[in-house]
Amino acid sequence: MGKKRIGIIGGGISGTCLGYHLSLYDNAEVVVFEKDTIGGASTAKSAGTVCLFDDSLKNRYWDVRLYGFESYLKMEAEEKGSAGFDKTGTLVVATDKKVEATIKTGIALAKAAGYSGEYITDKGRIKEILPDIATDNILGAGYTQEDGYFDGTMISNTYAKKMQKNGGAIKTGVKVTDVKVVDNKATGLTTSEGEDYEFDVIVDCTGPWSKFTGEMVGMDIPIWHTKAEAFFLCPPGKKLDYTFPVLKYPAFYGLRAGDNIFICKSHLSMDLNNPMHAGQWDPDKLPATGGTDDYFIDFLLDQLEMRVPGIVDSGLVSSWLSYRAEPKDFLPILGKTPVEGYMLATGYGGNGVIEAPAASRDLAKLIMRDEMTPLLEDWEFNRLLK
Amino acid sequence: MANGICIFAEYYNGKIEPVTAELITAAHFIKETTGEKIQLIVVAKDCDQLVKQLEPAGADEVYAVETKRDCIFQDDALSSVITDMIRKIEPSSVLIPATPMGRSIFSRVASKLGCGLTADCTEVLTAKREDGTFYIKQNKPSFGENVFVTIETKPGIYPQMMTIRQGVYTAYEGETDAVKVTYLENIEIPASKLEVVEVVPARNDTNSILASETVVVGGRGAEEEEDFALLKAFAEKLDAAIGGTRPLADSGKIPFQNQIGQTGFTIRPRICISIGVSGAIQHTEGIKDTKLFVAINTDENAAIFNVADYGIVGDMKELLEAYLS
Amino acid sequence: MNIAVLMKQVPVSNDVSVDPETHALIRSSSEGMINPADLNAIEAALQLKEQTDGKAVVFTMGPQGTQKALIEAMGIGCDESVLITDRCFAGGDTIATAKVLARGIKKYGEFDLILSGALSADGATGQVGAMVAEYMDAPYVGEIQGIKYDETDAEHVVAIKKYQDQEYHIKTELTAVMSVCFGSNEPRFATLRSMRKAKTKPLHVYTNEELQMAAEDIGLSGSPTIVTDSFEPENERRAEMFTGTPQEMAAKLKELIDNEKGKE
Repeated sequence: MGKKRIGIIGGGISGTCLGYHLSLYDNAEVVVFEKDTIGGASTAKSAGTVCLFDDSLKNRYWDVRLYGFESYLKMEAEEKGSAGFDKTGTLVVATDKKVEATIKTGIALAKAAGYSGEYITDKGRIKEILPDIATDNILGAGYTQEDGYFDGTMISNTYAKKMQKNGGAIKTGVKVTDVKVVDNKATGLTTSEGEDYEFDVIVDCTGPWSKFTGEMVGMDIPIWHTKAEAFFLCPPGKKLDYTFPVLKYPAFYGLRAGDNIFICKSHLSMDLNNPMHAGQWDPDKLPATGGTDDYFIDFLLDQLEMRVPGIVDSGLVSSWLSYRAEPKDFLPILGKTPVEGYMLATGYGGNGVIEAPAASRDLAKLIMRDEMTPLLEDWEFNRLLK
Repeated sequence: MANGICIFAEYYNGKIEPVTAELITAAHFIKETTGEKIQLIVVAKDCDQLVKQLEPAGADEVYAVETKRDCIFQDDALSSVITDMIRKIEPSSVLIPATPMGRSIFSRVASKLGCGLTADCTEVLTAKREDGTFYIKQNKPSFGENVFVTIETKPGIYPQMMTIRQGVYTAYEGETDAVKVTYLENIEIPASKLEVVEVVPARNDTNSILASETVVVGGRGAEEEEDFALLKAFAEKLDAAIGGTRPLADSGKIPFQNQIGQTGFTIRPRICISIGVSGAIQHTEGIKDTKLFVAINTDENAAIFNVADYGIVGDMKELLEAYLS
Repeated sequence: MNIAVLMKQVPVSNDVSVDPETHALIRSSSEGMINPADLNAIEAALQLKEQTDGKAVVFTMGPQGTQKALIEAMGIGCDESVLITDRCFAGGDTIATAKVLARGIKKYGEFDLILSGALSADGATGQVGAMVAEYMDAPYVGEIQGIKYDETDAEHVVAIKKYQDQEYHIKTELTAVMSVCFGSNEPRFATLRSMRKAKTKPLHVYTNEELQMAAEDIGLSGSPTIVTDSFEPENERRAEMFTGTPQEMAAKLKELIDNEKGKE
């Protein structure tokens, strides 16, 4: 049997990770098309946190989280810096009983997989970990030293390199301008360089661009954009005398960025019906820095005054805005679509770095062996048509 | 009728600046079409020896005003003298080096004359209007170097005044015909509200990657002890600050405050040499507005070559050792 | 000491292309920011203001919407701001722009010092400050590194200017105009709190109704120069690669660096 030709549109974390997982099959012939640079758009603005326990992804998908985390740990072990791991640990703060229960389950799962983690109610100890925190209105916090954050751009580039080593091809600076559909079957594509390619399977890995990508096959991809608004803060005194951990609250999260602190509003706090939070925009018009809304200043000031008063008087170094691609249930869209041979690996929302490895592993199985997995069933396109 | 291509002869410490010869080349290109005379103007305390330097430079005329005092940085007074000179000479165009001195003095001259001033031209082209008069198309970069715009001085407004970037024209090496030197005697230098009170040797601040004019940026490819030592020696030779991407900060080779990319800080050095930086977007977004950006990397497909002006594919060790010797 | 700061909002990205048919500029994003060197001018102004117990007022000329940058400047520490905005000011070259700015400053009141950033990130002419000085009949020192103030001599300040490996200290009568180099000081940051407070600081808006300038002095008609065309550079945005032995490449690298360093 001949090789299966797969064309991937988009060279972010989704496309490169899928490309790599496909390249592990002998009979896969993979080409990734990236209109700009590898991992240079939404992926570059990802915080890259893969925490062992937090509320970013339901505990029900623990396997997804663990596979992502361990994939990157292995990557980092193979070549230091290739996943950009910064092992700062994570502090997940329980603001109410429900969050507390989620954290506790997460800790149990992490421990079962051989990692350490604890739920701390001693406020003095929480302050030792994060001296600038306010502990008045919290129940406790989950803490582990074993995770931290990664670098989505580095990971994408590393996957791209590994894929190329396995024979895959990457076209950067090349935009897909047309997808050819014959009798409701995707058969190939055309690029901005005017070249035509034939493929057995085409996968849309364009995240926030999927709306536009989908139009090429006449499909309305049901994703919204939520705004990921972030600030880089320069702490008072310019330098903290402790390691700022990945810090998670239901409404926002923070992590260190050099001597600075990166703070971002979390995506689960986004209301898809609020035009300030969500809508459908053109990611090509996103500025590299700036673009945050005025309300974000008030939001963060209120949050930090209440939650982390020690850093509320930090300097505002810079800000950025990114669009996350979110289906209405905040879970990705993976697998087959009504157009034969046209698949999706998009809508990861803010969780591309966490979810891409497990999702790509399973999607590669579907593409190469036509095998379904529970994850693919959960995240299939059909669910959104109901 | 305005006639002549006038050039501001900038000097420092008694020496005519080499850029003057470049502007003479630009003037000869205009002269080829318009046939106008090339005129040099100089204002100085010790004027004679500067005029001597200008005589063989390739111009047709030299106009000089000798001042009673040294008037360096006295733009208010100098611009007044030069305005008077231009009113007397009545050139159709004035070419000025795009230097701090040139743009600072001639911004005032242009305001006095109401003639406008085009900044930082990289090309000047002569063209003809329907009424037979010549004009100069002044091309200059804008938005970094991403676009170029053509600027024209409106018809009837003279002189057409522009600053020209250094290094875009080669120095004039042609023959000089008889040159006519004129000292304009009736122009007095007025009092100035500016006075140089002290001159001390300047230092480049290489501790701060934000302040330093030259920055050497190391990436993962410069992480090994031996490589980094070489990078350090290279930076020292260049009087440059050292910045680095996260791996160098993580390993403690550079302080976190010198980390570039993913910290929110953007550096804007005039010269940036990157060594072993792959060019992930977070790093390149952290470096902007450079005048010279050279990237050195072993991987010829590294994304950094899409943002650098010059690229060197190769082993940093061999290259830097060659540079240092 | 009362200080006016001339600020320009510049695009966040210089990623601009040209429509091949209409030759109009196409911007990828309309997001603006305070010109980087202007932050150094603001910092220099704030230091002097604190030293002398005066106030700092930031001026900008631009379309409606530029308020955002002014509020940021006030968040950083400027006391008041002035937006000079009117359709009839649009399209002006440096001469027309400087005339309007000078009129706006005079309209506000007396200042001891007027500072701007040395070069803007988009146009980079470095001319407007000097032209404002001319229209205000004030001395000008361009591209300075710092300002020294001695309270025993309140009529002067000393500007520090780097030139050709020398540091010139230039004593200047007040009122003076100066442009401040990027990187010459460490600009302070706004904080979340100061940004919220900035929204309540005075933001004056001057249109031509307030400034009363003649049509022939402003906008396109007040500009002696006009932009007649725009085009993209021919060479692609890809580095020019060196070839040769390491020795040859090192020599070429040295030549490039020395050449750039030699420019002032």
